[in-house]
Amino acid sequence: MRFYLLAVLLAYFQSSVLMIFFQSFLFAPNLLLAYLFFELMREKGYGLKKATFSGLSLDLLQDSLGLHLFSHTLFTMAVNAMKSRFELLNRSSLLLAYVPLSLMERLCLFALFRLKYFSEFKPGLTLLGFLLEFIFLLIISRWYPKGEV
Amino acid sequence: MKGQGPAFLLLSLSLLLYFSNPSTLPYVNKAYNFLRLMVRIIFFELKGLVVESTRKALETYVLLSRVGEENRRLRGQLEECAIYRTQLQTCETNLLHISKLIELTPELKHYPLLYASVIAYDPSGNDTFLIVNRGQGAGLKEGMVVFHGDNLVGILDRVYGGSSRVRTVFSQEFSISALLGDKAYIYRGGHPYGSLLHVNLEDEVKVGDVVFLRVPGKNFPQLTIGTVHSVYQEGKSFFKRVEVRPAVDIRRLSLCIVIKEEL
Repeated sequence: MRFYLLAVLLAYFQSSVLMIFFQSFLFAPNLLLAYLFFELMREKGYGLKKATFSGLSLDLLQDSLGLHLFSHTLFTMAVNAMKSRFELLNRSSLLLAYVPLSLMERLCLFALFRLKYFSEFKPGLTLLGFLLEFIFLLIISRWYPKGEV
Repeated sequence: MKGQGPAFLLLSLSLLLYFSNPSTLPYVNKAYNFLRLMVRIIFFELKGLVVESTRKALETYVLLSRVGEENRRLRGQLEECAIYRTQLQTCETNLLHISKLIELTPELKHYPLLYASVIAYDPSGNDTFLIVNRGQGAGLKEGMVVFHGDNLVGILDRVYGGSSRVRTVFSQEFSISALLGDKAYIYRGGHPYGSLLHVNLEDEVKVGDVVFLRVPGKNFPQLTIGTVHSVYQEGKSFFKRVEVRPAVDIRRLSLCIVIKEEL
């Protein structure tokens, strides 16, 4: 239950505060994705329910029905594929694993958005958004692999 | 791959949702609007308030961080505007005076304006629509006029929670009342040229004439739609074919203004 409450709060914060600073959800830090990753890495199940809930929350709040749902589901599938092959025992490996997965999710989101609309790619803002997202994961990963958030 | 069936199903469903725009379908639209209404106060109105407060805070910060140079530049512009305003007030007074003499009572009204940033463009290259970052949360409604400088950009045709779609003057689905000289016509959008409909053969229309927006019964600012690009006769038609080049450059647009008044 804690995940769902925090997910709604994070989605709300992202959609109403961070999006203003970053102009578009394409460049804004996806804190919810970082939190989803953290939760997926701690649990043993597949985590599809959490991915669906977090994706839909963002879709509802950012008027992008289906877009975040797709990227979060794909992200969860990639995380599960990684979990089945590697064991991330410490915090550094968790952070290292997050980088390619998150960048892949961003790329997917942007590519899908560009298929429907045109929007200029802003590398500076994207990098800043990703860095903030990474810092957020760095903070919450203090409780990895054991303990409570 | 084992056990990934639901995930693939969800992926396909989300792609379908994203590309099919189900919220525009008649029955789904009603259900979607009902759902939005249920959570409107908790989510969207509160979100609108938070978004507006954050935007104001950010604008204030940006303004304060370079306040020195901005001040000098703006002071010059303000002086210019003050002179124009004085001239405008004189014109208004004269207009009211003349209208009393000829027994007309024009209503002078100042409409509230709202600035919006463009967040997405039409990927087809035909510039038929724009997505702006203001929506129901900022009090926008379908049918409001969007402009930039003194050029008409388009009309809001879909308003979502935190964003809106602008149907531009380049879209073939866009048509509006226009003024050329002292005659009213219907302007229909198109890319790269729009057109004026039902222009009689005897009407004097020249290349380079300016076409303005016409809003009957409302005292809207005189926004430019475009200039006449070509005039020719098609076969034995009763009407001339008049092509209009829209004045606004959609691809360079990053900020536009919405008049918060429905047409």
